[in-house]
Amino acid sequence: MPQTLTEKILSRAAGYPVQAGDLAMVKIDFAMVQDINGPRVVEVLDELQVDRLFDPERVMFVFDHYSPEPTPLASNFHTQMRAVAEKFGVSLRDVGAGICHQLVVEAGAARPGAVVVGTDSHSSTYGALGAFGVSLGATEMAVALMSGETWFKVPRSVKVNLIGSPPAGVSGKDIALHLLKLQGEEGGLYQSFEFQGSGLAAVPVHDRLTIANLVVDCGAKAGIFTADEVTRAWFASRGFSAEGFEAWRPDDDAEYQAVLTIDLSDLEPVVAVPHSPASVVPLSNVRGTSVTTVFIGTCTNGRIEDYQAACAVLKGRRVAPGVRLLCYPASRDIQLELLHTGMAQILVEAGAVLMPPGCGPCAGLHGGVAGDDDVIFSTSSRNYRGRMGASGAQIYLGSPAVAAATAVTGRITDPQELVESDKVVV
Amino acid sequence: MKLRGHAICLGDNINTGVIISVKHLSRASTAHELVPLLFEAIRPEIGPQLSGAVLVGGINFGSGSSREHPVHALKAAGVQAVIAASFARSFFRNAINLGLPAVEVDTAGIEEFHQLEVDFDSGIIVDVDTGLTKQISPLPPMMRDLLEAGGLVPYFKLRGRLGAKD
Repeated sequence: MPQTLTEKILSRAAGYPVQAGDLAMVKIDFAMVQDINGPRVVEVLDELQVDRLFDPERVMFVFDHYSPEPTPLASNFHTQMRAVAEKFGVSLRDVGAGICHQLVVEAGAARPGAVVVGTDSHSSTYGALGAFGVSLGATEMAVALMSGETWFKVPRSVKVNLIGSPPAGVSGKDIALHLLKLQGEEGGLYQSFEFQGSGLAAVPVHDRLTIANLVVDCGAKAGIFTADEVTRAWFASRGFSAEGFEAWRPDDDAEYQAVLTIDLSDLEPVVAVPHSPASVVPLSNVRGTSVTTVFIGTCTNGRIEDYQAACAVLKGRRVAPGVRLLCYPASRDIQLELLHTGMAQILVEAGAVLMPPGCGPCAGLHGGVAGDDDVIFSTSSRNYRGRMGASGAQIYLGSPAVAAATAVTGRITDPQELVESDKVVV
Repeated sequence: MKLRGHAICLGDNINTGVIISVKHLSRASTAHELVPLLFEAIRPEIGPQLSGAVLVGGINFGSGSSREHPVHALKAAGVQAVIAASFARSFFRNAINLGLPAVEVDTAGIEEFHQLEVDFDSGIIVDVDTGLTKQISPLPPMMRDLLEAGGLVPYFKLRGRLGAKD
């Protein structure tokens, strides 16, 4: 029977053929535990008196949500998790190393055909590189760490057929937000999105990471990009093996619940307005909205290409008076590249607050928590009421380039506007 | 398995951040400390009404973060079950894994504070105040076993492994 990519991956992991609707016990290839849910994971490991994990080399603990620790309790959580990481011999990425999903990706653990689980909803990110990436709760993660297995209901797949190539100014974030607009917050429930089509070649890996990251915000279980030449080149350039990738593509006659065609050349820059990531409007609708804070970072948009886009706007410019621009690189590797390339200097000279790698104020945990009257333009994933701090705060979501232009003027701004005004000055 | 409680109706797309904001988790070390903070952004007065309640959601209940704290906090507040037209997969799994019954059912017409009777054996939910009856689809056997054991940890202690009974 012809299979979707999702069915193929889960069949391999189950050890027998499965199809959409089946409940399957599957072997996991890699597991990530972050520090919000880690304390409960170690509590359950202790309660079940676990003395060894299925394979410590396939497990990573990451301190990112509390990086560095905002409260004594968070520090105590970290102390506890450090001890458990040492006991079981798992890789611990301590404060300052970066955001969990970026670190799993940089480690080469999210590979085509792999089942990668994490105690974080944005584990869908791993689909950018052809993996079945999905979140687990803390309790079931503890059991999975012990047994190396977990269960999934095999989801139905939606074929997302990408065609064309995006116009200048349209980033992966705009593609992702467009998808959320089409689906609503719940349109992807229980489904796996499989990204295919001739337009794939025009979507680089960093944009795929942003898109796969955000599929969970329309309810999808996974969002998987078919491995192609772009995927292969990404692995090869980082010194990872890129063999056997061709096996991880759907059968031509696989059965899909729906086919969604997106012509990338039709897209325009967009913004998600308060209080839902699926409330998406054209950038032009909200241009001029005053902001108090701009935040560039997170597992959605804190990568080097995101800072390149921001620095292209910020170079030689200043952040508007009364606005704070917070920049949190998604990993130490990215932080180092900012330093080596001089981008760190561009950011700081522009008046940005350059922070250490981590999640920052995305979930209102520390380092720029929003007050009631704050209006924030953020490159993150969620703008739910109260997400970044006080319930009164208004959060707009968009691309790094728009975030940078917005920081310069203090109003939501199309970067193109700044280019135009430069021409006038010249 | 059968339970009875009053309905608290919450609507569509109730995300985990609205149930309990993640920003409280670095200050509250037990689920009980989270109880007064439940639903603070949308219904700050709800706390005392949660004991013995059956939460009634629309579509996509529990969307957003995959953390378990919302389920722990709802249980600590005395919530008996959550019924909703659909669930985010992570909330649904967490609820079952922690022994909080989560039931997917059309919830249209159920009213706030009405008494609900949920009968898992017959697969029927009744709004006792109006007589409105809803049919629920039975849970897969493994999930039912998990709920009956009180969640994944007690289940695992009992069985030593995950999987169907035989």
